[in-house]
Amino acid sequence: MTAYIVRRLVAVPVVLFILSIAVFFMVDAIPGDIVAAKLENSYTPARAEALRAHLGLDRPVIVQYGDWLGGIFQGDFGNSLWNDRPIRNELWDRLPVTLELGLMTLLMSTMFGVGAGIIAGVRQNKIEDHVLRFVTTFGLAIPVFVSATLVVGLPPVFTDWSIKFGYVDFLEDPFANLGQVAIPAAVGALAFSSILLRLTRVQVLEALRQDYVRTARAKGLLGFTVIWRHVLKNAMIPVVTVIGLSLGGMISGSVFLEQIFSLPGLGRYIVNSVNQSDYPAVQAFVLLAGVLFTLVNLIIDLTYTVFDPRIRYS
Amino acid sequence: MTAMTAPEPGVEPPNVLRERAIALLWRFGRFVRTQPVGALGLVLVILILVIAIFGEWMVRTDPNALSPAFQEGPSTEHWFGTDNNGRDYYSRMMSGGRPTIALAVIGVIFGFIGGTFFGVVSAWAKGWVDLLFQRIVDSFLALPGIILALFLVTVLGRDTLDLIIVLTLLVIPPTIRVARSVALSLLNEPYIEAAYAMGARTPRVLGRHLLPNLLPPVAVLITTSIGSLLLISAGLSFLGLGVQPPTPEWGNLLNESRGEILYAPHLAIFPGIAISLAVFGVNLFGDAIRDVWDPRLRSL
Repeated sequence: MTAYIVRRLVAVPVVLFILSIAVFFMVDAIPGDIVAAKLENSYTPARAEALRAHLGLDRPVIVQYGDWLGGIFQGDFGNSLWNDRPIRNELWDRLPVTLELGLMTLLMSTMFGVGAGIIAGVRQNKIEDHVLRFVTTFGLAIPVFVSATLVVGLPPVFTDWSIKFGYVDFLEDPFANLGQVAIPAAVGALAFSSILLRLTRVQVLEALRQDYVRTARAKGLLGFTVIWRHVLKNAMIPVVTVIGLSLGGMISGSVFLEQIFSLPGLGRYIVNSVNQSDYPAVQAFVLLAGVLFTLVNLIIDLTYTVFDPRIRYS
Repeated sequence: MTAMTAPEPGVEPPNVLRERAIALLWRFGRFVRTQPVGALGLVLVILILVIAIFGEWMVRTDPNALSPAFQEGPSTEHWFGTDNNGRDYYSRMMSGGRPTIALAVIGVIFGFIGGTFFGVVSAWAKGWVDLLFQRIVDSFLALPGIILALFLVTVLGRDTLDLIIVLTLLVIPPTIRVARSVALSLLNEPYIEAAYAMGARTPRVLGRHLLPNLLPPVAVLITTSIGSLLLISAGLSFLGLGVQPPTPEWGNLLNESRGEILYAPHLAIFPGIAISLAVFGVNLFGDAIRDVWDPRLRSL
């Protein structure tokens, strides 16, 4: 198992290094001159030369790459091509919004998904099970950008109520802020909790069939105690993993949810940056997302051995 | 010059053909019986494919033709109503399926070919080539699909050809991984050794002996990824980064509807239903195929 952990730990920096090379050099290979595009009508060779020097584009590509990577290790992601602000500040300002949305989505989907999944599993083939599984069919079928569009658009058609746009900062008015983020979070949770519900249900059914559950019942333990102590402890291992792996889904979801609900978060920033061809911003975001995603996957894989000692890696 | 006595290709005794047709029908019937949900998925897939292939001819007017009937609800004249420029929404919906579906299908086919090729090469080469390949694949898989798509769109652009390349590049890394793992286990089979022992060269062994056994399991696993590819291609258009208006496409129709939804909710509902049904149908069908092929892969 030590060999497995070492192998994983060695692979991570290699993968991230390759990702950084891909992210940097693929953008570098984009045809067209950024300097010419930035200067537009005021283009003169002298100005272009000055801007090139200012942006550091007059140096060899490999030096630019080294500088870029070195800067990132120091928390410097370069400046936006769009407004020349440091990208670090742009990302840092938007991080709380995305974090809040992601955490709330996670919380809602875990509460509903796992809670209802346990009910569906324990009450297999009863009315609760059928209703819950029917609901998840919609959760799995409707893409998040479709449900979000309809949730924003349809209520004002039929009622007087509509979603208030214009982001309210948490420090300004915590309740308004939470209420505002709760709706997109619920939309995101609809999809993700469906996956969790199905997984939890299957795991609970699997655990209920085990001998140790029968033993626990034979000992005369209360039904609740059996479920809590014996069934859930064993059923939750894969569920915890999937919750951990959901980070990628949260990032993808935030791209659409922030766009549709006009929340000033990272997801909206990346779409705007792509639209404006703000290459350094896209590079920084993509690399950070890759680092985050890879590290979380690593942590999940390693904690898996702690959660479930039965698992042994060769 | 020797006279060939072999029967001409394609001409078989009719009873054999009939038996084959019956066997096929029987297998199909069993699929419907054992996988009723998958059969529903198949119906949806066929419906979506019909719209993708024949939708262009199922329109009632030119999908881009303007008229003075703005934002009208569904009626006998305009089955799905009209949009804010008075364009017939039924015609726009019918011709709007092809871009998304064609992109997803082409992306899957190219990605399948490319991924299988590199996966087999990686498994066959072994050693540091294999290791380097797998780390490159890992670095692609380190990003959530839509983020990778956004990055590739930034680098490549938004023309049709660019989008095809983007979707292909999304399919290749997971396909490499699957193809490689299947190839690794197949390369240990005795028939590979036998083929080498008979003096066959590597291309022949890989092409004639490995590939026929490798393709079905890889294809089955890749079928399940068409749904997420549909989502990404419609999602990119929804974000304004895929198929560009005025070309109708379900994703950009849904996006354009957002401004008009208060006065014309049908503009959002029709593309919303279409995208959902397409993804839903493909996923149901893909899962059923996977279950039939290998019940052990059934996860949820």
